[in-house]
Amino acid sequence: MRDNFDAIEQTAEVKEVRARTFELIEFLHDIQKVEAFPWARFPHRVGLHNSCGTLRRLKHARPSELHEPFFSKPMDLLTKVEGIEFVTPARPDECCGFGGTFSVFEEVVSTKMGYDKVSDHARAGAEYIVSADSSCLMHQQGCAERIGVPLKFIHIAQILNGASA
Amino acid sequence: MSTPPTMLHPELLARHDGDAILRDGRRLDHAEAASKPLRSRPEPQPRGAKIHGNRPVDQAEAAACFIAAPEHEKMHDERLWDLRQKRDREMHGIAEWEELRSLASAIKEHTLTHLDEYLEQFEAKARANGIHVHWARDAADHNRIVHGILNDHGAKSLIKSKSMLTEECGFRAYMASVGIEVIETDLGERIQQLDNEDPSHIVVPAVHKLRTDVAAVFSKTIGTDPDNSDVHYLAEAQRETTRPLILAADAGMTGCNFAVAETGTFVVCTNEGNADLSANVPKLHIASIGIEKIVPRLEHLAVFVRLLSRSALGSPVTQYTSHFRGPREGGEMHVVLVDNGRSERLGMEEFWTSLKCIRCGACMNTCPVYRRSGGLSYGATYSGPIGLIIDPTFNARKYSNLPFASSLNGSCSNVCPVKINIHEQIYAWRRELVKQHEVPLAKKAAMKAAGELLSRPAAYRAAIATADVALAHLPRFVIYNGLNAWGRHREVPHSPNQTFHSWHKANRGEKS
Repeated sequence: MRDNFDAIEQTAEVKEVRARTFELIEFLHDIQKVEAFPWARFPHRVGLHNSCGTLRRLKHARPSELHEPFFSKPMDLLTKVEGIEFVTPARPDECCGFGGTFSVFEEVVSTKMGYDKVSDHARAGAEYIVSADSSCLMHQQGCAERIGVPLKFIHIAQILNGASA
Repeated sequence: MSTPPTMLHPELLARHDGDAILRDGRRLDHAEAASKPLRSRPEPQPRGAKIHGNRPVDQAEAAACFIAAPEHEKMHDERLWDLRQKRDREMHGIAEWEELRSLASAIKEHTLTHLDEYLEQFEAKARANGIHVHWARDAADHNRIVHGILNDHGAKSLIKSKSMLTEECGFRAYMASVGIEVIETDLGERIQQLDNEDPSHIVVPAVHKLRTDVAAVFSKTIGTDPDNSDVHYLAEAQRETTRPLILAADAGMTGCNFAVAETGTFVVCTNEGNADLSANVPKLHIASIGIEKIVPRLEHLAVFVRLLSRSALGSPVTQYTSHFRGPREGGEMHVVLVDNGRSERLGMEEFWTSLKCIRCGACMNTCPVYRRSGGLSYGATYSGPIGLIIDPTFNARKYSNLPFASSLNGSCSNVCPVKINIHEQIYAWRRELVKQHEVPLAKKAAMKAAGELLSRPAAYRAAIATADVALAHLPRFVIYNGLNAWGRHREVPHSPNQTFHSWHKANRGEKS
């Protein structure tokens, strides 16, 4: 919305909407500056998946390619959830292969990337993959189910909102 | 450049099988005594994209073939990922890495925007150094000029080091057509030449081959034992057969990594020292140089040399960084400055910065699509992310599918040592190709249908509701069939009990 919504006439209202559109994580982290989620408890091992859009475009976290100090907004929020435990896959920020139309135009490569991604998380010992991007989750779930990797998938909003499992 | 032995993937090293070795060192290979089958047939090497003249290359199809060869795909993915990790390690060793990238990008942008001046400066200085300077408008010009130089010297054989520019020009095929023998001196490139295959990667050209593939090629071409795929044995055999050809060659050719305007000199970076052999053994040295290779001053090399090999192979520097300053006594040095579409690219508002590329291959090593597809799946001189944005400038129709072979994850732009916004240019190419009507109908129709659905909220909600009900109740064979690209290799999403819209309507009232 903020970066690419330029195909229609840029009226004052359009500009207003574009300027005031925030992704959930940046809203909670940067605008609301939420300090605690007292209602949330998630006693599980989770692998965090940052979608490429949130990672490299919205800059939710430091991508592994750059020589910059480490930070991770979703991790900051999730560490405030009681009982949560993180696992780190071998390739933490490799693309999972969803990629919008890519997932159907290049479906073989896309699903191979998905298989590799969910296997990597499973090897690291994850019970859940958590992400702020439902499309990545949907794709990874489809891949995990097809090759029989026993992982569960959950949106970060569900955990922060107090979902128990 | 090619890979030093320490970087070989474990798959490429011979397996140690102590049990099967006799006391005199011979392998125990009769079936009854060995507990394993004599030998399992190695997985055949997947070949690249099928080329049908000017018709669009089907990268997706070729990538699927590569993935269908799991040993190759796994080795390729892991080996290139290993290079990416080594690159990261080198990056973390340099505090000013991001500043270096910015500096390199700024130097290249400055040079490209003053290219005419720097090229003329280079030409004048090079001539003053005793170098013959030629200008080639395109590939055909380049090949003709080099042929002419060789003819003037009565040269019948040419040894050359690796150069992507000569690949671009179809140089080997041209030389074959005029009866001049070309011998590649880079090991990987030599393997590819003997196999009559293009390089699959701009730095490690045979990276898609297992050692068993190399054994098969060498057994057919230089007479090695087809069952011996020991890397050192193969490398040694190649060396033994190629050295005499190198020593007897009439002329030598190199590419160029950087050409320095203020000195009229140029630099070639290799790991095997093969450029030095090619340039120094024969008396005649010809260098093919793309016009974008210019840097203004010698001091600028410090920036690029620090970035190049760290980005490419994750090594601090190439084994050889050779400066060529002029012909040696009794010898001749020629430089061919080649445009071949570069001036035109320089005039493309959205794509001119692709000319900053220093051909390190980091974008390929990091690309999750490239690693799983193999470089030959692109059916073009340049593969991987940089190929997606350069190839269409050569032929928009033939390479119209390439910009779609990306998930637009952006990792390529982050590793690029000269900060080319590669993934943004990939996206821009998709729009450009639609504008030029070079996008296949099926792709366009799918995108148009999605666009219409997404622009009408009521229709979108109705479609979601219908799909959810349908997916929950339809039998499996209706959902999973050849027409469902989503469901061929993965399960379709679970239908939620309630959509966000219906939840919002129920819990937050009508006002939204």
